[in-house]
Amino acid sequence: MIASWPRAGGAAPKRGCSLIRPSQPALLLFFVASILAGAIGQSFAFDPQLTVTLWPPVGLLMGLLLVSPPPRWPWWLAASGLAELTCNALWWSNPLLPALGYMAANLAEALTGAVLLRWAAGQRFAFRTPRETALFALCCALVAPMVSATGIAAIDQLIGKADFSMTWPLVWLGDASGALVFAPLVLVVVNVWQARTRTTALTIVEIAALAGLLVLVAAGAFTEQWQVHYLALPLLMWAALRFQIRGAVGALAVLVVAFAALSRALPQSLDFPERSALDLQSFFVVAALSGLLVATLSHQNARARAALGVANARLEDRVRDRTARLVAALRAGRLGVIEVDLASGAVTLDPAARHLLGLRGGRFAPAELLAQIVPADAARISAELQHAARAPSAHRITLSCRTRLGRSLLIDADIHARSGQAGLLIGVIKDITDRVAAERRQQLLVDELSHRVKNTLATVQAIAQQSLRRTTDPERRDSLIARLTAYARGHDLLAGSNWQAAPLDQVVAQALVPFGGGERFEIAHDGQPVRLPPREALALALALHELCTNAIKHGALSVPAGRIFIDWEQRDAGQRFAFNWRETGGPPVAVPTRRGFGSTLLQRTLALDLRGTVDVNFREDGLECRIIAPIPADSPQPPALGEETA
Amino acid sequence: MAACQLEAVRVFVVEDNAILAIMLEDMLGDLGCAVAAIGSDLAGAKDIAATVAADVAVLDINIAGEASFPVADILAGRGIPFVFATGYNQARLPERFGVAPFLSKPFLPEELEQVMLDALGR
Repeated sequence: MIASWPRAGGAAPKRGCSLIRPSQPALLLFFVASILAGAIGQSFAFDPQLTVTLWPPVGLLMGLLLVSPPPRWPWWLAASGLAELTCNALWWSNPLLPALGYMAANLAEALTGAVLLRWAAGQRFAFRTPRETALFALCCALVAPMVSATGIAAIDQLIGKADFSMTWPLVWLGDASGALVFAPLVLVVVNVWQARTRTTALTIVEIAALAGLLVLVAAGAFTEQWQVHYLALPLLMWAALRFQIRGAVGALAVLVVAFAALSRALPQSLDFPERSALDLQSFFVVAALSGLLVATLSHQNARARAALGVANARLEDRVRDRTARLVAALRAGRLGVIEVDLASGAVTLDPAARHLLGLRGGRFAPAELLAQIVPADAARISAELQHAARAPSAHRITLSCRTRLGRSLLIDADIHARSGQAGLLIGVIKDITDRVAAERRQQLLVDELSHRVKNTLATVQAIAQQSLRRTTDPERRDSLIARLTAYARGHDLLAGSNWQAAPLDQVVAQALVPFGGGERFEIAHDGQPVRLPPREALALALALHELCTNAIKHGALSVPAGRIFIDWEQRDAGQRFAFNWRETGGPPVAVPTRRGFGSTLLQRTLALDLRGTVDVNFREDGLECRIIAPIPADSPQPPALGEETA
Repeated sequence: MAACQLEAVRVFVVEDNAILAIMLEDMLGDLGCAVAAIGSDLAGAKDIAATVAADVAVLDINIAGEASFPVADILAGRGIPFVFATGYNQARLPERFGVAPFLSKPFLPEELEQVMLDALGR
């Protein structure tokens, strides 16, 4: 991968300024490669007057400077300079001074390109983005060759070899094309060397085919009839798309080497009568730029696809994980999932739901499903489903059904309209058969217990009745029996609420029944519910009985015009309630001289059982009783075993 | 006076608890009624129900662990009105007796009188 360059200088960061000599084989290899590159350049020397049409050695040096840390640069520069002087000795035989000048100009060019690109694109330069490729083209192919073009053209002008304006563009384009092809080549070779990528046999065949076709195109360029070097472009794109930067650079190198080899093999074609050197240089520059850019885009595309693949895989993992957790939770709760599409009329059950209902198959038409599980209830359930589809919150439907195996089941379906999807319902179903059966057993038990308590009270009443049958004070007997009955009435209410709590309005209504009900009483309350647990409800029921009895004997109920006002309200945000009893229109009230059982019951028992204050006021115009007491929480916890209860 | 309305009414009582039966007898006596018969188990009560000459019946529901509903059915068949007197909740009554007059134990003589008047349609 192009992205994995070693950080330049990262391997030996001891001292920033100290020089590090590359190994001798590396130096030797670079020296030989530079001479070979010079040979390629020499092959492009179409005009004997001008030595350069395409100059690879400077690209080679530039590439090496880009991948190696600056402390090694002097050695690479020296090796490159030496190679150039060797080339001069081999082929051109320029006098020493101009040759040294050419060399200096070329080394300055390579340094300029490498330093500029490192400054612009960072030390870890690679052809990763179009921006990096553009920066490379700008620094190494546009700006840097200007340095050598200016130097070499000036020398040629000075020694009278050629005109400055003629030399400059040739050197500039020649070095630019050399840099565009050979600097990336060094990067790719180093990278391939480090990455040790494997290639399949098929890829090797593809590469060989590409190389062969490129050689053919190069050969075509040397025939006068078909000047088909532009056919190299599609091959270059193919290589760039398939193998990214490696493909583009490799194809370019093959093309350049093929041109060089052919021009050596067919020296008579070197004439290029109708073709200027500039034409060929332009072709190489355009081909190299296009190839590099397409390679970069292809690389970016491949990376994006790989990143997308990784993100997708991660997402899939998360989805799988969440689904697995959801399924596990559903399984732990023995819940089945049901989906209903009211529009298409399809019901979908997950395996757990099918198992629960004893059904086969996952999708059903509602009619078919209802016929299988609840023939009697079908109409009600259809209506409830329609209702659930419009309800803003979850809706519970209870179904009683019979499975294929004949088991009777009670099923609770909690379903919810799916937001944004009209007519789509989703929810869970749960087998509540056992729970409901347990609740029924418990209800039976409570009923039975209640029945026995009441029978006991009735028996106590009967015993009192019999024992006091011949008493001289029948009033006392009747009052005892009436109290027992009032107590039993309170008991009735509590049994009706499963011994949880009785609503205050019912306690009052029940207590007033034996005393003429609503006719003599004016009842008002703030409408806020007040629920009293068993002890408080029974205490208040008895208290009301005493108040009524007293009112009949001495108070408002002893004369036809008398009336009793009863009202209550919540206080302190439902923490307490205030209850008032006020008699009017009765005979003048006298404060009793003796505390009877009735007033004791009222003031002591009531205050104690209600845990509140009871204020009985014997006003002259009628008795008044004010109660303020806390509203206990519903369903009090049973006391721990052995603990004494009040 | 209310007592006059029940004067000489013949009442068939089904009650397995002797003390309660005695109290009921006393209460009925105070109201001027005559107790026609007392049944204290289901089989006996059914036999009596089939033949007894009564104007109205007061039935306990749980007689020695059995429900007295068959007795009520026999009485209904003979057109004799009946009243349930029980410690059970009214909700426990079978649907066909849902409208039958109902006394919750323990009850006061006035309540007994009112329910019997209801049953007799007076």
